[in-house]
Amino acid sequence: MYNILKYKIVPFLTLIVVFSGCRKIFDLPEEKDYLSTKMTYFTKDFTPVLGRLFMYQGIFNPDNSSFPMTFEIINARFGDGRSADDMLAKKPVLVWTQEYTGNEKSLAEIEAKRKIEERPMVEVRPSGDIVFWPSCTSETFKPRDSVIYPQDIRYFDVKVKNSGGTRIIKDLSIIPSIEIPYYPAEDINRFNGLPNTSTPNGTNLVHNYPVVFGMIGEGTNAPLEANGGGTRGVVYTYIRKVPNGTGNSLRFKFLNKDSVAINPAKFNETKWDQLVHGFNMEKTGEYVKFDVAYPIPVARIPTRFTSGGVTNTNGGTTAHVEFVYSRKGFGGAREQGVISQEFAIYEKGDWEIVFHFKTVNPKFEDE
Amino acid sequence: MRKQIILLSIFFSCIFLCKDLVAQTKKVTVSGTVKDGGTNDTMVGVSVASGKPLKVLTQTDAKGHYSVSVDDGATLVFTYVSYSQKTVKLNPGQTTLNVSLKEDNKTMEEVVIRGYQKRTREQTTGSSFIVSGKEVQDVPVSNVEQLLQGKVAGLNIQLNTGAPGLRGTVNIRGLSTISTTGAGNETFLQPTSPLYVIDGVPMDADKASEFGFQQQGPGVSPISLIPQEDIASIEVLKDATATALYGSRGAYGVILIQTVRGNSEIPRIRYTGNFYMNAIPKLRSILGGSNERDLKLYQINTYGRFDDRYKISNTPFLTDSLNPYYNNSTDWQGVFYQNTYNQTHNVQLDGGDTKFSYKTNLSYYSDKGIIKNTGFDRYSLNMNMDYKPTTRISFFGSIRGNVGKIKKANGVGLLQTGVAADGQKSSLLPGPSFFQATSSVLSALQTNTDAGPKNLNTYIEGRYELIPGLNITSAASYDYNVDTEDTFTPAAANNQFAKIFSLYGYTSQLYNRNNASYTRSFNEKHNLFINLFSEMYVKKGQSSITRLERSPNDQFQGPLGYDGYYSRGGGILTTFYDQNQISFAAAFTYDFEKKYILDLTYRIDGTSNNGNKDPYSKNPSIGLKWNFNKENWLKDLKWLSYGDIRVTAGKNIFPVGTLVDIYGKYTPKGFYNNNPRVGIDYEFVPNPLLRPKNVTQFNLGFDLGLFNGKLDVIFDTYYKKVDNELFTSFLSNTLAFQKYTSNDAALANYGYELSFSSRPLSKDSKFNWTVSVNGAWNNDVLTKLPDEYNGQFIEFDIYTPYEQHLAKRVGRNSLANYLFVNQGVYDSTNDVPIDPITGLRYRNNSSTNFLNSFQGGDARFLDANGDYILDSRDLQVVGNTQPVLTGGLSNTLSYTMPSGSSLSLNIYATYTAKRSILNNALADRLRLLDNPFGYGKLNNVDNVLGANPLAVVPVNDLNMWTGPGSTNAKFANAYDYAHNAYVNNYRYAQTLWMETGSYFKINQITLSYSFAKKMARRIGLNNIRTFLSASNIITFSPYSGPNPEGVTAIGRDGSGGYPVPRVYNLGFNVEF
Repeated sequence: MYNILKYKIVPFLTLIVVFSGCRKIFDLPEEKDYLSTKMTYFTKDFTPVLGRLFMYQGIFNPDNSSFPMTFEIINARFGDGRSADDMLAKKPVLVWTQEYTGNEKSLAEIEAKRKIEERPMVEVRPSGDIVFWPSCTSETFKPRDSVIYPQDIRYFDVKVKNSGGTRIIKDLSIIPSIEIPYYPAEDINRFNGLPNTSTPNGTNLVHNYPVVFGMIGEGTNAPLEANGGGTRGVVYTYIRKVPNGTGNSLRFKFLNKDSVAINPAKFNETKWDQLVHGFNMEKTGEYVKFDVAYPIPVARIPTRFTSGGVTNTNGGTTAHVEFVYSRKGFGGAREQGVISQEFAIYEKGDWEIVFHFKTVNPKFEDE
Repeated sequence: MRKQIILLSIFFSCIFLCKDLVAQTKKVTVSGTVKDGGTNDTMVGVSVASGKPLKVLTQTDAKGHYSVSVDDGATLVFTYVSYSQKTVKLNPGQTTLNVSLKEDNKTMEEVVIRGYQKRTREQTTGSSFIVSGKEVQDVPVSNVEQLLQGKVAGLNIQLNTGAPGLRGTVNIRGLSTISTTGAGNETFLQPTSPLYVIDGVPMDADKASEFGFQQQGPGVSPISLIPQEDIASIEVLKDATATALYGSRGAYGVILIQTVRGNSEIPRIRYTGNFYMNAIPKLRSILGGSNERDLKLYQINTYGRFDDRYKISNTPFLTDSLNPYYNNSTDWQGVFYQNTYNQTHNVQLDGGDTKFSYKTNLSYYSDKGIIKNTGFDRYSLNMNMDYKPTTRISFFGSIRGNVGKIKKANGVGLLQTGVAADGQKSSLLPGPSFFQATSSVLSALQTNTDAGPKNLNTYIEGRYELIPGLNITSAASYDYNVDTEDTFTPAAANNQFAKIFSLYGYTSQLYNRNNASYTRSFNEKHNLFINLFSEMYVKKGQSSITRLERSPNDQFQGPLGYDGYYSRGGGILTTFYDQNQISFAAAFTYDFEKKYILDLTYRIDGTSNNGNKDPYSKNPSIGLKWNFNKENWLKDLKWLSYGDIRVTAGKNIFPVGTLVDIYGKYTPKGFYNNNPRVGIDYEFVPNPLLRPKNVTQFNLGFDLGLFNGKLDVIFDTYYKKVDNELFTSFLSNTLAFQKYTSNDAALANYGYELSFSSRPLSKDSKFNWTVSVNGAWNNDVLTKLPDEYNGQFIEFDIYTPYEQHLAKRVGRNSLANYLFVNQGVYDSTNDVPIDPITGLRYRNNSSTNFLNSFQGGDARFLDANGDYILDSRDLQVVGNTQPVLTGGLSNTLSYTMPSGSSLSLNIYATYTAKRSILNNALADRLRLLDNPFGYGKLNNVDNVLGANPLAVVPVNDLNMWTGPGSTNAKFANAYDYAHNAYVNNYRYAQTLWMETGSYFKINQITLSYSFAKKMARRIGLNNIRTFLSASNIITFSPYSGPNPEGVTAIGRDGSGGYPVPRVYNLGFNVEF
């Protein structure tokens, strides 16, 4: 009996040690991910332009909630309560797998860096960013007009979840604008996509103008201007589609005041190989054509083909082309004429950029 | 009236008569000698007692001789501190009795103090630990606290500053607060030091430091003013029952310090002298002279952007290497650091007999810091006396007078940021000399500080035994402390204009305690103890400052002649306080045959720091103990010396909050209709419901003594809940007020404490070997935040370059870091993830700048939200700033030579584990490479080329990325300063700096030699002991910084700290 009791002490003391190790007996709260009650979107009204990638980045304010979280678009609806789930349909889009550098040597090399994936037209990322893929087109979305009716507005809620719980951020709205497939697009009416007549019933067409400098007008012997009017010169830029192509081409064309093509070879100092990130240059007497990847630029990365080049480290939103020629001016000085254009094209296709010397032709001949 | 006097006199005469009636048998005079059973030396000051209840009759004299007159056949009891008591029954007619006492190795029979009453440990239920005064002697320190490091399980002491006179952090059983102030490396955790009770007088050790690093004034803790030689014993009380009776301030634990009492019939003089050297620990190694220039040019040539090459020629310190001004290799750290030689002297006089004894301790302590122009001197005179005219009346009185003097260079308190900044200067610049000195150097070395506390503490206690067993005691103390600081900065050190700063502050504490206690035994089986007392504090404190700019010259440091325009005045600081506190307490203990013990206490505390709606709080506690070794069925076990199980629970408070929190702050608001207006300050809304912090503790523990003192084990496990933690919430901006201080936060600690101590050798051996090991495991959990925060609050640090935020999240450790997670280094640019939607490389910030993209050689930061942008959304709650495991071990080996001399070797070590600390010192070191051009501020213009050339430190010892293929690199390419400016690889707020703060430190090694008494007497002395000691000798740690302990309470290792010196000491104890 004694011995039994004696040695019972040992397990008893062991029990004390073990008992205290259990956190549960103290009824302490478990650690959970934090989900703030004040999390919100800085922007709740989205006004994307259809047909191009529109990502609202950094608009979700998590108020220090713990990532990773899952986000989900729920309750897509119109202002009158109709379902708007059609915008969540999956469509093929291009996603990047490797970084575009601007040094790719062929179209295939660029295409190898991205692939086609099926993604919902409107997507929310795990960071809360809202993405409008280029697959959002006016087929599904009714573009806004100058008057917006509440029943036409698409609304949705975002459901946010982590181990701390679930919250729903309500009433985010989409008011899309009609596709404007290129930039600069002063010539397009941004409500209906028709030529811009400046006022609803106006007759004056608005045009895009390139940057022109150092050119002398043929016959005027005065500096040629892009938007001078009359004898000071008018140069229009047309960005337009060309029928019957592979969907991967871009060509440049120059028209004189008689709308007759100027031979691009006349721009004798143009760096053709650094003009656009295109391949298989085809130079004819009428145009210069490249095989290119769309959109242009393919990503917002500064390259030697974008405005400002690589040193413009904030650039990469637009491409830049520059055509140069030189001639011997008065007194034998060599004069350089430059016509340049910043542009972007968002829609895949066969495009041409036409510079139309509307009133005065440039003078290429030496003095 | 007359009737009352008559009644009283009858009452008293009865008492005196009764006493006389007892002593009526035959008396004999017994004499003899008391010797130490181990060394065979005679013992001085052994108490000889007899009777029932025991009365001390005499003490042995200098030769160990005693003589007492007792009843024939009486029982004599010999007691001596830390020796086991010996009881001898005299044979009838016996008149000589020689005894030898053995050193006591049983923890159970120690005398402990509970609620200002002495009790034996066996009869108390609380958890506590005693450190004897002997253990804190052999290393000279300004603050005796630091010698307790690693000696008591659950007492976590981190020596995080080497600044002379200042203290580290002390916490009992984990974290008691989550309140922090300040920012960056200066984020300061509200100190929660235990309450110190010195000879019955409570003292607040945090008094000097509660306002953070940047506080004005000397910042010397009152605990630094107690000389270590004057300490007889230190007891650390841990659980709620032990601290219950210290109620209103005992929530953070209690440390009781007993000073030496007079203990010798023949007056003794004991002298202790220490001569010691403070040695500079390892400092940062830097590249000097042309190495520095070459490295900077290499950086610029390899990684610079185009414009940088051009700038080289505009930066003379890089190009003009033949210019003597730039052709140096100056060791800037050497300008500020020094080895110092110091001494301390302590003389202790004591004497007296059982009726009257006295002690005087005179001490001088001097510590010149390893940073020049810093140091701490202390002069103290402590006296106490015991007067016992009869066995029933006794008085104890003490006076402590201390003067401290501290020099702080131009630093403030714990930080020496000026020195740290100067220590980073480029080695190419010429060092300070007669012709050439920078004002920052002068301000560090020539700022003239005269600062320090002056403290006077008086205490008197009277005790009267009304009837046997019933004692009444009344005690009062007054403590007055004056802090002054006069700082004079000479003109050359302050842009050609001298300046004066002066602070005057006082704190006072009036304390009174009245106590009645009663003990009674029934049939030797049932024992009762009742203690009732009341306690009262009146505490006041106020400081004011004066700041005068542009005084006339360096010779005249007086208050006259200054520039009124630039002077910013001063006035009374907001730290002023006026607190009153009153408490009533009752304690009841019952035990049955000392086997089953029940402790109950109840305490009511009213403090003026509570909201005025309900100033009283009620604090009960209960303790149970079972001394199971006294059970019949275990009595026969030879190997079990003692064993018990303790269970306690109780509540304690600590007043938090200030008058401003309760009543609001009122400020003058100009005039209206010629009447002055005083209105409330809209920063804080007053909270009249503010309650004190509430600490509830449950403790379960056992003590075991095995194999006749060969092994002692103490184990405790506890759960400590801290409620009503003060928390300042921000109010909605639609309200008039901005902030609201409430009691809505809470945290909890739970853990184990284990102490082993063993004396494996036989008691008769010439060798005496003691090993003790202790450890404490503490987890803290934040349990509550104000509801509106929904379980997480981030303390953002956005106004300093550090941006190391603190996360307080319910359910995890209370103080975590909120940082970017560093996952290594990108081996090449191809490894950097690409945003599939935009095609852009992962980049820093939402900036559109392409250069913000990460590339090969950059740090791999976790993109927690998957948006391919590194910003504040990617911050994660990581780490634990508080240590989980702390403890220490000690090893003492002593050898007694046949001659009687003895040699002893002590080694103490401490360890801390499972803690994350932020190695900001390393971050600073790598960030030095970010600025090869020495951009800096010049004449109030920021970013001037070459204005502030910085030193560079070698980084080739780090596992750094050197090019593609450095797959396991840990550190990003630090040389690429141009790119780092965009991606900020070496940002402070990242887990790269979060390292484990585990360490094992050998605190102290002491080798001492005691000369045999015979030898000492030959030269007319009673005792000589000499010792060599070294402290902070070596730290073993995986930590890559200099010292894992030299970090702030929330684990930041800033370069601005004061390194802890190594100390080598030679000391003597001489007894006349």
